[in-house]
Amino acid sequence: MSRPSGVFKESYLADMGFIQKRFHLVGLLLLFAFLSTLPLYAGDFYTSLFMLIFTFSVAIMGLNLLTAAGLFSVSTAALMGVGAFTASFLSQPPLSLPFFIVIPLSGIATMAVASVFALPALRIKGYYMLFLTTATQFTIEWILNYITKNVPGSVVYIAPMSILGHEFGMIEKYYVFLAIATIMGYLIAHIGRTPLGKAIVMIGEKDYAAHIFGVSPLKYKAIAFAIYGLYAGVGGAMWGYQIGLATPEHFGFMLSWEMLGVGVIVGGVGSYVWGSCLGTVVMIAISQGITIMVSRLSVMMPWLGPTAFGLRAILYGVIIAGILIAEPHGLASLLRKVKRFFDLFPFSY
Amino acid sequence: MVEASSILNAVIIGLASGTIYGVMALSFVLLYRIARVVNIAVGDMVLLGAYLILFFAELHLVPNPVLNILVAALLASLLSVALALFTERALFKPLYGQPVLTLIMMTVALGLLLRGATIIGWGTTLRVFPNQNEIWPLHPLEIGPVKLPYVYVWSITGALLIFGAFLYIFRKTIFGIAMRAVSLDPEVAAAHGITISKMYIYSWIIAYVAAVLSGLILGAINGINIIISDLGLSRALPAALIGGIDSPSGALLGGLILGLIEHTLGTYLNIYLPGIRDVIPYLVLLVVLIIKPYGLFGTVRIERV
Repeated sequence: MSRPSGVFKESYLADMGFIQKRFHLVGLLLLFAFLSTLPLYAGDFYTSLFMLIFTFSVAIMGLNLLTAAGLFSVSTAALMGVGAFTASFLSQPPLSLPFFIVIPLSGIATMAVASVFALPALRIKGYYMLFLTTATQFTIEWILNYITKNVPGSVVYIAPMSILGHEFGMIEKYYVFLAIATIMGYLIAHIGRTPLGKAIVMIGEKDYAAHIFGVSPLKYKAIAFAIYGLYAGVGGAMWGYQIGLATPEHFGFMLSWEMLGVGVIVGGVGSYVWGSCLGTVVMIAISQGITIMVSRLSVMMPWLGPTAFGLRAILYGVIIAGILIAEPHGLASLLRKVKRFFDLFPFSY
Repeated sequence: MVEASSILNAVIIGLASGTIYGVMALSFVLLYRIARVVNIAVGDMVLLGAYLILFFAELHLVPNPVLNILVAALLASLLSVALALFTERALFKPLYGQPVLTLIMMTVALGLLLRGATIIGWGTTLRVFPNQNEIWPLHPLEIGPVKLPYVYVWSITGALLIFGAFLYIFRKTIFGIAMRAVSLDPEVAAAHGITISKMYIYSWIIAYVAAVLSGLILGAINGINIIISDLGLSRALPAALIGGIDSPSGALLGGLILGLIEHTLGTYLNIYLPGIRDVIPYLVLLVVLIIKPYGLFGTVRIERV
């Protein structure tokens, strides 16, 4: 981390603080002022867009932690699906639990599922994880498909958010989502500075070196996986509450890739909160932008007809390829350069 | 009660369809071994291959249907050479030396491009090769108690030819030795006068041709549809990993094992759990990763501090 000359940390407490620069404090206050007043002046579209951003931010925070542990995962979408399906099961009539119990419980259920599928992960590392989690993704997708086949309409519904019989509208739901995202963000930021978080990062750097230092790779990989499952499950439950229904098609393989490739890599691995939020914003912006572009283009080119969603794939491919060729380390390195420039402003070093 | 002859039949068909999985896995393995690219787009390459062969077959260049499909496969392979050149030069050349994950992301982008192109070019309806029933007669080839559909006869022959040619080149010719040298140690190979970037192009060409030709068999078995893309990935990836990600002959063995399990255990379980046949390769992969993380013939990475 680059610091301008003359900034000193005089105690460990100051070094570990979340807010280290005045820029951070001001930025945080402004951001909260913006987010907490957003539904008052923004329309339904932007409110729901921000709810989507909160949802995916939560899931991507867990994925970011897992990536920091050196384990790449492309089964996030499937685990979100598990969260959404659990939420549906818990919130529907036989149990009809309220949302503030459903969301943590779906997180814990997904944590259990993730831990089961993490067992093979304890022996392998690096990109082998991608193969393992590809297998996990498709296996879970099949299980979800199997469940929905026995449900009328092949769709599971999630009961609307309500408390004491009062059903929540869009704006109330927005604040609930904001609160959940804030709590989850605070928790993961805190994990990042505890011995647990340091151990996870150490595993990610060099697991055999960590082993020599008395940090068991097996244990901390399992813990990282459990945290990842928890966050994905909470994200999935939020997703379910926002949309109101879920099918396995919503949680496809490509979504998992988007979350890893754009959500984590663009945001920057190891930056659990801000990186994840930034990555999510970029991810949602790209996918919404492409949706808008495709709808415009298919109006201009009516001969495309139903094949217009092929255009979506092509646009996505071009954007990813363009980013990779222009800035192979992801947009995060570009951002780091910009940040460094402003940190050290009048001088270049 | 399951009859002995039907079990034998399932085993033979499993092994026969395993050969084509082996060819797809070869495409995956070769690209990893030479260019260190983990190719997630292998299913989309197979998909594109099926549609390219369909395109050339529908031109009816030769009146005889069997010759026609062979000519179409040849033309599609030639076109895929051009595609391989484009892929390597335009997409992957700027990225060599970057972390593995960057290269994998690029293959994801490549897969999206190929899939989008096929959707726009040919739509999403199920297609079959022209005169399919004349090329592969409906009544199967009967060898004693075994009934083998003709598609699988093609699959076995084609896979044997491809693997034979490939292993001959890889083991016996100077060109193959150069490729192996690059896969072993690129810097030393470069110091001995091997042009590495050329080897990368050749590995892309072989990978593309293998994937495109397996599109012919997969398209004939399942019909030509976007589903081939997922099907190809779900067979190539586990097959390659069962055999070991850097072992070409392991790819064939992995394919055979996968085909065998799919057509015996998969078909049996499918009665009780519909649809499990599609995920059985992944379940096998999960088990293999627990028992032997680097596959049957893969190089075990040993790390010492």
